[in-house]
Amino acid sequence: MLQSTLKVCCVTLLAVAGAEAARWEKGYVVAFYDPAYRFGGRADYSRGTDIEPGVDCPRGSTVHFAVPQQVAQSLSLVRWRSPKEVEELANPPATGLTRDPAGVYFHTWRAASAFRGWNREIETYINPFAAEDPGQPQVTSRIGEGFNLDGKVKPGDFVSPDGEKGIDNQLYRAWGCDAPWRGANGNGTLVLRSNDKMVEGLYTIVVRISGNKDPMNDDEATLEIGYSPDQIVKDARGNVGADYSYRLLHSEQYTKLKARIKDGVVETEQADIHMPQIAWFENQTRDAFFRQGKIRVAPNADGTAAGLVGGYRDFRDLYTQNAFAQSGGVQGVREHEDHVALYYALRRNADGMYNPKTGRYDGISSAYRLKLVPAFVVEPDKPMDIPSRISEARRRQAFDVTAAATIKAVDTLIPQPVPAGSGELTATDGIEIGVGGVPIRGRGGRGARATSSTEEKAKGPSDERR
Amino acid sequence: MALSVMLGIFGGTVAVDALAADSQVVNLRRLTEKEYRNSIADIFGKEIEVRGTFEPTKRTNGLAAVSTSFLSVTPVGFESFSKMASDIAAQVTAESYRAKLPCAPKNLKAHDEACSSKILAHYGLLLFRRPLSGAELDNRVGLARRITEQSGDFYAGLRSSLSMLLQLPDFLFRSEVAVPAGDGKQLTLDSYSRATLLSFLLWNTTPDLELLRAAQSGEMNTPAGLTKQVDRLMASPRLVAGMRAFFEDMLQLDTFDTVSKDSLLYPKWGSGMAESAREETLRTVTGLALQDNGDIRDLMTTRQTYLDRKLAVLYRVPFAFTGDWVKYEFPADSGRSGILTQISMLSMFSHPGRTSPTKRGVALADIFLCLPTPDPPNDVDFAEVNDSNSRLKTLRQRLMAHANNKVCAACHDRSDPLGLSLEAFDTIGGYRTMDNGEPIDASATIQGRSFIGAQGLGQYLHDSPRYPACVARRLHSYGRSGRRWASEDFADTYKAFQDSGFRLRALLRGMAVSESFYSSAPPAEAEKKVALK
Amino acid sequence: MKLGIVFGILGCLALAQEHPPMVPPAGPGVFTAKPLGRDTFKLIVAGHVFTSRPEIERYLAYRAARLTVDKGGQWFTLKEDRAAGETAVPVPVRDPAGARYSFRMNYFRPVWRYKLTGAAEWTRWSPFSGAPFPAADPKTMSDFEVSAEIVVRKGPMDDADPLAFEAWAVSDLLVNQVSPPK
Repeated sequence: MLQSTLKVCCVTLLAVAGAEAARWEKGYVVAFYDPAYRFGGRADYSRGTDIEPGVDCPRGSTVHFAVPQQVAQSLSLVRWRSPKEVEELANPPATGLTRDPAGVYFHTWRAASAFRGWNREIETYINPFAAEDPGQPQVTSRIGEGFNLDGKVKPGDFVSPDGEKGIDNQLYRAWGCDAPWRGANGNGTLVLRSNDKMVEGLYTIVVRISGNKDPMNDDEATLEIGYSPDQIVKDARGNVGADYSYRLLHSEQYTKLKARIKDGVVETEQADIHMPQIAWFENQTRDAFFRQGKIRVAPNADGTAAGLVGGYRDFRDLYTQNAFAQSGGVQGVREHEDHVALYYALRRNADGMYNPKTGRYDGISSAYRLKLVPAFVVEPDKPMDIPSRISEARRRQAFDVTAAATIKAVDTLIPQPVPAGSGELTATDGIEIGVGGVPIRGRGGRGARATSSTEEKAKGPSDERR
Repeated sequence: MALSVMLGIFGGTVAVDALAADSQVVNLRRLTEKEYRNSIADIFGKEIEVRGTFEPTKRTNGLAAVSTSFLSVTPVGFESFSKMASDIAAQVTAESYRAKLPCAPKNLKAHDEACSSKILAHYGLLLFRRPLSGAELDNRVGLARRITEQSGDFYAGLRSSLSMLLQLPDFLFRSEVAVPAGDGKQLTLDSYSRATLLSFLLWNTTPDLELLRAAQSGEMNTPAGLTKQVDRLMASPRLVAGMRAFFEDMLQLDTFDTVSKDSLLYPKWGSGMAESAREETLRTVTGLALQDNGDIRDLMTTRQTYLDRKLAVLYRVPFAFTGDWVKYEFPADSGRSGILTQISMLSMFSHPGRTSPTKRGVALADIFLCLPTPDPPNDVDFAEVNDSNSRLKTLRQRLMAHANNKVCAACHDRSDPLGLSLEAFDTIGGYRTMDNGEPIDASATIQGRSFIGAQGLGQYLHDSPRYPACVARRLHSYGRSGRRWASEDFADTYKAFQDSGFRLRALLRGMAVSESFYSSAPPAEAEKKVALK
Repeated sequence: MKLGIVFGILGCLALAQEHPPMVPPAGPGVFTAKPLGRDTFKLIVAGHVFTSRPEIERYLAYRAARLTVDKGGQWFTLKEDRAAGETAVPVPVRDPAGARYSFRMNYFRPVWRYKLTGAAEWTRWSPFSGAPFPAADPKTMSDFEVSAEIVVRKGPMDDADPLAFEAWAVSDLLVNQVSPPK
C-alpha cells in the first residue's frame, strides 16, 4: 500500500491544459552511484584472504601492494633499483624503529611506489607512462552493462544482461577487476566509501523527468540531471528517505536532455552530459563529463528507479580523479591499487574521443549505475553556484596542480616535476625513501612522525624489530 | 501539603515577610521550564546557560499550566534547582560577566556593603518580581559579607547570595498576592502580582523593569495604568512567545515528546519530525491569530500552513527553499482542514503503527470542545479492536463492533465520529485512501449533523459555538492558572470576542484589562493556614 | 633531506624540456627493417660506437614500436631468434590468467653480432645461450648489429603472450630514453 502511494505521489500534475496534454514531472534523488562493473563472482562469496574469482575476473579482484612479494614484484621492474634495494623496500628493515610496523611498511611502500620511472627523479604518479606496466588483469566476461554508444557491434563489445549487443563499456573491461571497485551489490571498499560519503552529505545528485503526455509513454519528454546543494536525508531505517525536496542547480554539473518514454522506461538522446562525479573527498566533488552520453531510467514497482548513465570519458580525468584522491602512493597502498597499471589499462582500452593529432583515443566508453529514490526536484528561488568549502581550498588547489602537471606530462610525454603545493609532495621524506632506495632509520613518513621521540624513549631500546 | 513541604524546606515565612498586613497569598505556581529559562535569559542575558533537568508537569482540566499550582518540589527537584542556582550564580560572578553587574567592589578581596546591596537589590527585584524587604536584603548582604570575610573574595560572597536568591521559592514560585477589593468582600491581586501575571501570560517571561516600575507606582491598580501596560505588552512581538506557550499547552503539544512511530511501517518518521510538526502548528496558530489577526474559528478550516523540508516529506509536497520555514497552501482537494489535519494532531493521537479514531476523537472533544472523556471501564475487552487480522478489515468496522457495547457507546458515540472522519490520514498524518486493503469511509454523524472527512469535521467545529467558547475558557483559566474564581463575570469579555469576529487579540485584551480577571476568592481555610503559618 | 634539495633534484632532471621529445634521426644504415612476410619484419640496428647493451636494445625496441604504429598495428610480437642449443635461458611461458601487461621489457631480447677491433669475422651473441655478454670487452667493438624479428599485429593484444608488446606503450616509455647509435 505504501509502495503504491509512493508511486502516485512522485508524479505531480502541475497544470491541466486539456484532456490529452497535462504537464507532469517526476523527481528522484540518487541514492547509490557506482561504476557499472558487473560482478561475475558469487554474491555470497565470503571475504577474507580469498579474492572472489568470477567469470568477470577469473583470478579474482586485482590487489596490489598488499604483501611484500607484490611490492617486490612491482619494484623489480625498476631497473635502477638493485635486487638488494628491492628486497629492503619490500621488507623494510625497521630495526630500532619504535613505530607500528604497519606504518613503516605503509610509508615505505607508498614512497617507493611513487618512484618507478626510468630514472630516480621521475615521480611516477604524475608521469605514469615513464614506468613499466605492472599489469592490470582485464575483465574477461562478455556480459556488461552500458550503452551501444557508437551504434556498432565490435569484437570487444559487451552484451547487455538483457541481450543487447554492442555495449561499449571499456572502462569496465579496463578497471572491472580493480579491488576497491569490485564486489557484489556495490560491496567494493571505494564503492561503499563514496556512497556513504554521498549519503552523509558530501554531494547530492538529482534527476527530474518531465513531459506533457502520459508519464508512461511520452516521446517528447525531458530529463535533467545535476548537482543539488541540499543534503540527502536518511529515513528512520537508515535508507535514503523518499519524498524529500531538492533544488536542482543549473550549474556546470547540470544537463538537460530530450528523452523518450516507452512503458515507463526513459531513454535520452545521445549528447554531452555533465553531472557530479563519484567522490569521497570534498576536493573530488567535480564535474563528470560524458561525451556522446546517454541516460536510461527504468522504474521499479516500489516507486524507486534504476538509472544508467554512459558515455565516453576523458582517460586523463579518470586517471587523475582516482589516483590523486589522496596522493598516488597513499591511495595505491591503502586501497591496493596500482595507478600505473590502471593508467596503462585505460590507454589500452580507450575507444572514443579520437585525437587526429596523435592518432590515438583520448576517451574510454563507460557506464555508471544510479539507484533513484522518489524526490521533489525544485528550482532554486534564486540563481546559485555550487557551494565550495573554504577549508578545502588548499586540498582542491593541490589536486588541481597535480592533475595539471599529469595531464601536461601525458600529453607531451615530457616527464613533469612535482609542482609546488601538490599532494604528491605531502611527505618529503617519501622522496627520500623513494629516490634514496632504502628507508632511513628513524624516519618513516608523515604518519610515523606523529609518534614522537618521547614515545621512543618510553619504549626503550629493547623494542627492536627484525 | 505541597505548600507545607516547600515552606518547610525553605524555612517558612520568607514569602510572607514581604506581605502587607491585609494581604494574603491566594495562589502559588511553580515556574515551568520555559518560564524559568526565559526568566534567566531576560534577567542575566542569553549568554548564561541553564544546565539542569526540570520535573515534569501534569495536565489538569486540559491545561498543564493549571497543574503547576498543585505541584510541589520534590527533594530531588530541589537538589536540581539548587545545582542550577549555584551554576548560574557562578556564571554571573565569573570574571567575564562582572562588567555587566551594576557596580564593582572597591577591593576585590573585601566586602563592599554598598556595592553588595546594590547588586542584590537589583537582582532581588528582578528574580522575586517584587522588591526585597529590608530584612530580606539585610539577610542576603549579611551572607555575602560572611562568605567574603571567610574566603577573602568579594565575588565568592556575592555568588553565595545570588545562588540563595535563585533557589528560594520567591523565585521558583509565582506567588499571587491579593488585597481586599473595593467592596471589602472580594480580593484582588496586588500590583506586583498583576505585573507578573501579565508578563507571563503575554510574553511567557518575568516582568521587565517597566512593568515593575508601573507596579511600584501603583499604576497597575488603576484602569488607565493597567490598560497602558496591557497595550504595551500586546504591541510587542514578544506576544507571539506568550501565545505560543498558551497554544502549546492548550493543544497538548508538550505531549509530543513521548510520541514514537513504528519505523518498519513508517520509515519516514525520522528524528526531528515531531519537533517540526509542533513548530508547524504553533506557527499556523500564531500566524493566523496574531500576525494575520484572523478569526480563530478558521484554525479548523484553513489550508494555509508553514512547512519545513522535513514536513514537506510527510505531506508529500515540494518544499520551496525560500527559508527554513515556508508558507504553504494545500490544494482544495488535499482533504486537509486546518490544524485538525496537521501532522501534530494526527500523529500525537494515534498508535505507533496505526491510527486511533478513539484517541483522536477523545482528544479533539477535549481540546476543541472542552468535553473531557472519562477513562474506559476496567472490564472492556479490546481484543476485537486491536486485531488487524480480524475478519473486520478496517478500523471503523472493528470500532463499530465494540461500540455496540452499551457501556462503551456512551462515550464512543461522541468521540468516534470525530476520529473516524480523520481516517483518511495515517498515523504519521499522511493522506491515504485505503486501510488494510479496503477503501476508507470517512463519513460521520454527530448530533444529527452528517459530514464527510476532515473538511466536513473542520466545518462542523468551525460552526460549533462550543469551539470558540472552549478557546476562551482555556485562555482564561490559563491566565488565572488555578486561582479561584471570585466572579463569573466573563460575559462582557466573551461578547467583545464574539463581536470582533473571534479575534484572539480582542479576547486577550478584553480579559487582561478587566478587573474581574484579577479578582480572587479567599483561599480555602486549610490552604490559608499553610500559607500564613 | 630538506625540501630545497628535493626541488633541486627535481629541477635538474631532464624534465625542463619545452618541446615534445624527439628521437634524433639515425644516420644512414643505422636502422633497417626488412619485410619477411606481410606483417613480419626483420629489424636491425647497426653501429660502430658501443655505448651500452640496454641503451642500444631500447633503441631497437623503440623502432619496433614505431614501425608497428606506422604499419597501422597496435602491438607486435617478438620472434625469439634461438639457434640450435640455445636453451640455457628458458622460453618464456604463456601466462594464461596472469596480470595483463602492456609489455614486459625483460622479454625483449634481441640477438647481437659484432666485430672486435681488427677482427674480420662477425661473432654472434645470443641472450639465450647463457654466455656472458660479450666474452671480450665490449668497448673494443668496432661494429655491431642488433636484430629482432617482429610480427606487426592489430586488434586486442594477446594478454597471455609474454612476447607481445603494445606499440604505443613501448613508444611512450622509451621516447625520452633513446637515441640512435653511431
